[in-house]
Parts: sequence; C-alpha cells; structure tokens
Amino acid sequence: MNRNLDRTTDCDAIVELIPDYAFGLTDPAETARVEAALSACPEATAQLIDFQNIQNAMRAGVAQVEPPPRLESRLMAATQKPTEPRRLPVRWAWLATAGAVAALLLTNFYWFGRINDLTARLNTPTPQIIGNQPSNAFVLANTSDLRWVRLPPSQQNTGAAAFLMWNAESKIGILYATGFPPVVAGMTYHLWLTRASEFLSGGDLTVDANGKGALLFNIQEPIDKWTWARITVEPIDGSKKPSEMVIVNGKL
Amino acid sequence: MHPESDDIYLMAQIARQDDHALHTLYQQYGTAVYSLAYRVLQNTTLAEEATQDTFLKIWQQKTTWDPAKGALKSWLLTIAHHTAIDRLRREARQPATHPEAIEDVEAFGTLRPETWQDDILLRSLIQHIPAEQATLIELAFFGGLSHSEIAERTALPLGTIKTRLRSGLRKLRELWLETSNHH
Repeated sequence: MNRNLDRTTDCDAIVELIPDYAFGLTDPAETARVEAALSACPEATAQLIDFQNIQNAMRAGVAQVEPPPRLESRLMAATQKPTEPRRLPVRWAWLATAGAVAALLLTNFYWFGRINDLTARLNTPTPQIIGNQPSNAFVLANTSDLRWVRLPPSQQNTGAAAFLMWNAESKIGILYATGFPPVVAGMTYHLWLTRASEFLSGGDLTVDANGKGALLFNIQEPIDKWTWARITVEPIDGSKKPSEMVIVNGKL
Repeated sequence: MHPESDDIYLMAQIARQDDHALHTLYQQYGTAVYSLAYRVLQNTTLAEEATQDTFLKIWQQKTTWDPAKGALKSWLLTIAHHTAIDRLRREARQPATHPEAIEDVEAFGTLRPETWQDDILLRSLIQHIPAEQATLIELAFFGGLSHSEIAERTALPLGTIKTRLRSGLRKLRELWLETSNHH
C-alpha cells in the first residue's frame, strides 16, 4: 500500500473542501474531516490562511458608515455596574436591618396601593407577579420565573433610570421609574416595547414631583417576545411611533 | 493602524473593566464594527444592536483575543460578523440581495450594483469574477446562507450552487494572491 499516495489523495480531497470550509459551508461530516486532516495537509492549511485573509479584507472593506452618536452612550450605560453596598459594623447592622424592613414595608404598602389603583384603572385581575399573597406586602418573588431589567439613561450624566419587572411569558409588567425630570406641558412619558422595526405602546408613565413613577401595563403578547424597552417623551394626545426623545432604553 | 503593543495594553485594561479603555476601543473600531453590521443587516436599528452586542461580548469577556492569531481589528470584526449573522437569522430577515433565477449574467450582476461598488476589495476584483459567482459569494458571506438556502433563494440546483461558489471562491483567491503579490 502506498501511504504517501493515500495521504496525497486525502489532502487533495481536503483542499477541494477548503473554500467551503473557510466560508462555513461544509456540513458537519465535511467539517470534521477537514479539521482532522488539516495538520497533515500543508497546502490545505495555506489555502485556509489565504481565505481567512480574504475574509478579513472583505469585512474591513465594506463601505464605512458612521454610527449614530447615541450608540456610544448606550454602550457605556450598558456597562455600568451596580455600586457595592457598604458594609456596616455589626453592632449597627440590626438597626439598619430593622430600618430597611420598615422602609420596605412602608414603600411596599405605598406601591401596593398604587398598583391596586393602577389595576383598577386597567380593569384586570391582580397581576400574576403579585399573586395570591397572604400578606398585604408586595413581594418580589425570588423565583426563576421573575424577569427584571434596568433601563439605563440614553444620555450620560442624567439620573433617570427605570426598572421593568414581569413574569416569564406574562403579558403584564410593572415599570418603576426614578430620577425623571419634569415633563413640559402638553407632553408625557411613554413606554414602548420594540423588536427590529416593530414597536408596541405600553402606555403613559406619570411621574411625581420627585421624578418617581410607576406603570402597570398589559400588552397583547408576552413581554418576552420583545427585545428592547424604552421610555420617550411624546405628545399627550398620543403618537403613532416612538419619538427621538429617549429618556431610558434597555435590552429585555 | 494601531501598534500591537497598544492593542495588547488596551485589551488588558478592558479585562480589568476599565471604562475608559472600552471607550477608546469603541472610538478606534466602532465605525468599522457598525459598518460591517449594517452591511449584513441593512437596518440601522439592528446594526446598532449588533454593534452594542459585539462590544458587550468583549467587555464581558465572553471571548478573548489572542495576539498570536491575528490583529485585534480582524478579531473584532469576526465577532461583529458572527453577531450580525446570528441576528440576521434570528430576525429571519431576507438579505438585501434578492436574486431571481440566474439566467442573464448581465442582468443578475446589476441586481444590486451599489453593494459591490461600495466594497473596496470586491470592487476591484469583481470585474474578473463572473457576476453569478460573485453574488453567490455575497449571499454566503454577508447573508450567512448555506448552500441549500442559496439554492432555494436562486431556484438553482444545489449541485450548481456548490460548483459555482467553489469556482468563484477559488477565482477570488487567485485574484487576491495576484493583488497581494503586487503590493
């Protein structure tokens, strides 16, 4: 048996596959065959390098298009890390814990009341994420079904942020906003859910004098089906699509 | 062109979660990444999202650059390319080129002339590659389509697609080597 002839024949066959392999067009069996033989086939390896260089040039050689200025600020906002909580000395910890629990209960009673008001306005049953809790506290259930995202400000150096919470597969969500500036007369904040070129209205968001607000919304399909959420400034009479005045924007 | 040592330092700073380093990386390569994403996705919103996803992958160190394997820009654009193609498939959008049956070479070659004229490398090489082969390369590379998907799109037999694509890619490599040897 002529092993050199066999090896040459195998390498010839591998070289035939290199263009397809380089461009991701080989099937799994062909891919495995090429990868197993590359180290023994210098010509195949050399051609693969040529094709990779060609691909690098094709990627770099596309017409250059300037990205919109907002993209960088969105990117940097998306990388913001939550601040680490400072640790208190142990002897003050119980006081801090008691205070936090009290504040949480008070806040939850307030927000539970707001949510009840919003629920009544929405004229739907109590949202799934509250469920049938025995107490009157609004419980942030730590379950695998709970989804939440932070919507960072679309511009740097603003205090605006929002948090969106929903259950997996639910059409109902809660939005909590903070740090929003007062809106001018005749305008309102509005929640949009988007995916690709589609957008869906989530409703108007009202904020108080401290820039805080909440919105309970119910849409036509599960929130999980959408990819981004943003709050924009819109005319109070309504808008057909999101305006360019984006306050917060985040990926779901 | 950035010295490799600068790129190594920059990526080391990104690994340390230095915001300023990410800002610098975006300043240097943001346009190139966005341009490639837009070329694939042909949609500004999707291109923005793919660009952001690309830089976030690097920031979150889901993949790391090995200087021994190539330039930072090439690595970055490869990630951007894959991210954009993944997004394209996810959105189930059609590539910008919509070739009908490949019968008239001239007509087929003009289906989307602005695509080829915009690509610097391809603009110089395309004149020497049959138009039907060049368009198949575009569908495979920028459209992320498989042989069977291209065959379905073009209404050509699968065997014809495979033959023409391989021929086109081999021709492209020959022209590339000739061009490289002259520089």
